[in-house]
Amino acid sequence: MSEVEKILLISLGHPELVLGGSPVVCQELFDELRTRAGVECTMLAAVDRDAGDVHQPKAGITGFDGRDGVYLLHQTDHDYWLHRNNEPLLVDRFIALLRAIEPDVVHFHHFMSIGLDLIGTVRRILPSCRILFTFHEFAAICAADGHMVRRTDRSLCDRASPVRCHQCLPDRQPDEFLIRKMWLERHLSHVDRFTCPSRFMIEPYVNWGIPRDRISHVTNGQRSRVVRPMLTPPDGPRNRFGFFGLLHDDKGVTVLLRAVSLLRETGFTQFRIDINGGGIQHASAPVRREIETFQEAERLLPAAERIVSFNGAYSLDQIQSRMARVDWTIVPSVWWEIFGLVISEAWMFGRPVICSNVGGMAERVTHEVDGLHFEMGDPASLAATIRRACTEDGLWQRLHAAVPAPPSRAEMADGFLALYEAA
Amino acid sequence: MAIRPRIVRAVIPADERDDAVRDDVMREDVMREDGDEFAHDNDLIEAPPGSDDAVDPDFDETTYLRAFPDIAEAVRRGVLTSGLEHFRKAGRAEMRLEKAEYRALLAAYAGPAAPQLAIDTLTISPSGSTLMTGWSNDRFDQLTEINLETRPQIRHNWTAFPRLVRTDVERTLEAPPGYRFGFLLVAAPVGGADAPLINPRAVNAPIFRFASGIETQARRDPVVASDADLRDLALAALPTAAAGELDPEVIYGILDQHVGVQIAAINRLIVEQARVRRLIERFGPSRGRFRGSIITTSRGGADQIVPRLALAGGGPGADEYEFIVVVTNADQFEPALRAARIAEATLGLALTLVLQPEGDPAGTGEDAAADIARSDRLIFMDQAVLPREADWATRHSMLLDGAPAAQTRLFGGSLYHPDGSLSHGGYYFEQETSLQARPHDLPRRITAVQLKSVAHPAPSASRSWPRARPVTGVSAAFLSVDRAWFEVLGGFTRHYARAAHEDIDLCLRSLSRGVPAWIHPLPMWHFERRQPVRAEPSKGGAILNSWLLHRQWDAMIVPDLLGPEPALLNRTDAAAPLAVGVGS
Repeated sequence: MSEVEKILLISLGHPELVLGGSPVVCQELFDELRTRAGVECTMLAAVDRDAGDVHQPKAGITGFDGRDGVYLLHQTDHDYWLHRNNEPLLVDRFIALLRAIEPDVVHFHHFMSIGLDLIGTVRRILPSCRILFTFHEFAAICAADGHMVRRTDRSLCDRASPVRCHQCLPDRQPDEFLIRKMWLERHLSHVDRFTCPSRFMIEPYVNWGIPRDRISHVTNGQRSRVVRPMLTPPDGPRNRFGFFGLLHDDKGVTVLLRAVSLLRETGFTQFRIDINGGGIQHASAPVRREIETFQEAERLLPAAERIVSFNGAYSLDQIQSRMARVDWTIVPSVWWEIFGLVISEAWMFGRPVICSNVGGMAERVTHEVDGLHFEMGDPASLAATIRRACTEDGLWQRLHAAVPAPPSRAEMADGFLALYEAA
Repeated sequence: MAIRPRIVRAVIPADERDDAVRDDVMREDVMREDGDEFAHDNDLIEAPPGSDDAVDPDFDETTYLRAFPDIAEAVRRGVLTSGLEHFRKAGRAEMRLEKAEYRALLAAYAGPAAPQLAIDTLTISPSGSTLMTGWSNDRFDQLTEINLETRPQIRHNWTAFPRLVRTDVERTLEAPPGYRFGFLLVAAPVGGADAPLINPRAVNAPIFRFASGIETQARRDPVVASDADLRDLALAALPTAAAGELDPEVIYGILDQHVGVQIAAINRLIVEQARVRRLIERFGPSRGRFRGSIITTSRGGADQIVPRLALAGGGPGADEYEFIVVVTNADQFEPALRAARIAEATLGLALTLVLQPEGDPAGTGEDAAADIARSDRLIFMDQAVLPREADWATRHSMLLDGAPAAQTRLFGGSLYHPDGSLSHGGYYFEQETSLQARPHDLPRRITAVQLKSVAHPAPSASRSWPRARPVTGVSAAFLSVDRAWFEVLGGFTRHYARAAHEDIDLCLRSLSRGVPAWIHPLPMWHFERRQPVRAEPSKGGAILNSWLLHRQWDAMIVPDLLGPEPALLNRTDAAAPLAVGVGS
């Protein structure tokens, strides 16, 4: 570790300015590395017009809020198809920053809003610099949000091809996907080591073209959000469930709401659901309509008959109080869910997780050991699982006892530091 | 020689052509009925009667100047602008038109009426290129010569020109089918690219001479157009010039009568103009000489520049090469400069931007860029072509170092569609016979030489790279050529329209000097379906190109070069120049 001195982390956003998991992970890594002896860590976070007046499109790169070692990359005229920069000033400032810092390691957390071309720029300006890249989802493989969910029928996608991708994005010709892949491969060829936070991601990326010997798993890690002792839940059935996350299509809120409707139709109503999260404006129109219709119908019911509460968005500072209201956390995502920070957050508070049986969720939550799986996208399967969770004696206690401690940010930092040395 | 100024104004939009022709004829008839044998000039004589500018209908400029040499001398010296000016200022008061010498000359020139004629279109470029179409009812007094003075002492002189079927004129004149009333005149500037610019609106009216010796002028205000637009207008006229007959023989006949040569000369002029009107901006590392110069014309938006530079120049070995990007769309100059700065910063390539404000948007820029290359190897790479292999530059260099010189002096790579099928593995010629339907007659058998490219529709047939071999020609989509050899050959022929056929023409010239083009296993993607395609030649342009190609090369193609694997090339000693006895 002694030879690693200066590390530059590059994030697609700053967690205080944008929603999303990867900025949180990058911030956690930054905060942890800043505590390590012999490491000098800097973070550069992209920012765009969504950040309001913080965004300075003609500035290129600035500091952020007077914080030591934190810079903002003010994106403008960015090409979100090929993920490249069209503003020479921004690239010039990036080069100036590289020359000023002279990092030994540059660790990219994503390329969205950053630009793939900055990877090659690092290699050109600092030829001996070690470059790491962490895939936070499948954006390299999948041009449709990086989720590998087919837009044709919402099924999970297992591979990219020009024709298959054209079917999801018909405005793009098949040839464009081949060029996009070539462009990605060309820039990613400068990367020394790739990482992904879940093991199941490795095979899709190897199949896509990443050399197997250059990609490995390093878990995401977070600081504990437990800031005070958790109160003991009252005795009785463990029938309080919580959803935590954005109300996007792929987060599967509608699967949960349909499961509630199924249970209500059968007369089973002795449970409560807390929906914690915002961002419904980013949901598709049908999903938004379904959620809002359900919400309005729920509002019109007598208070005693309401099952679902919509609590709105929350900050990480509020997560303990939100978690205190539930016994279980439900993760009904209808995509691969790369890591599921919400799983880690549930585990911080000892909450067993009920989740879809695919991807990062299935990898992390062990069915019948520390949580329960249900068939992804199937409201009936989820309804049956909720009913079982409410009614089976000793189930919650058994799973609760087996809930693991979530990966810490120290564990994550150790994993990356080992790769920084080896790269 | 009788001078009979006679202006026949025929404004003939396509949809009114019959009416317009009829009006001309009717006007002629009316004048004859009036006994006005002279139908004296002209547009100048149109002031209201009684006004100061009113002119006696007997006034005739030429006769006036011949009758009064003192006035002619004053005009010659510039004291007067014309005889008419003198007439208005003094001649009328002096009753010059009544003087014996004027009346005698007027009477002496009286003769048979000039045949009817009309100019449909007159287009002139500031450099002096000219396109004129029209018709003449010269069945009984043949039109033999047309002159158009574009600037003092400089005139286009046509004594041979194609005559065209004009069914509209036939109908209006009630003439039996068969006589070709129309004419099509094309002329490149006298003096070529070095000629001084002219004012197209100030050219004199064309003079038409007939077999009888009669001369007449016809006036039509010229439309001013660029050389490129004029060229395109001339090409657009070709398919319709034969009254809808797309019979190659008919159209080739039109081209043979100087039209083809003149359009080709205008094409050449356009390229020459592009060569001198350009800005050159260099970016990235500078070194004395590069291994090769990769030349691409940017079509469409400048947003294509950085991605294709990254994909063509980002692999191993590419730093030995320089990139030259030609931008011919002025709207894209600023975006192109920004893209070049991005490429310089992120890729570190040696890049030269060639900004050609008035460049022909296809192909010609690449030719013009060749002379600023900083290497002895020119690689023409179309914007729609990208290497399949990241290390293509290294492999290209290895070819130059390892293969016999005769195999690398001029060569191409195999081009593949994105689905993996071979789109272009070299040109070849095939002689094909087709049947041309004819109304009320048996179809006519037409045998013609067709230019084709080796292709495999199935990806499986293209799985292994084709072996290196000599071919009849390679596509300019990816063409690597020794610079000295390129210059010996005279570069790309600039006569073709829209840069079509310039590649096969270059290869045939090389072959005629004993050096066939080769295909080497350098696989390239060819995204021709997605990329903004280069402006295709119009139907007329394709006809011109085909005419030029066959006119120049059929004597070599037909005996020696037919088929995908012509016998001539099979005889080639792979390492030695080929002995070729035809062509020049």
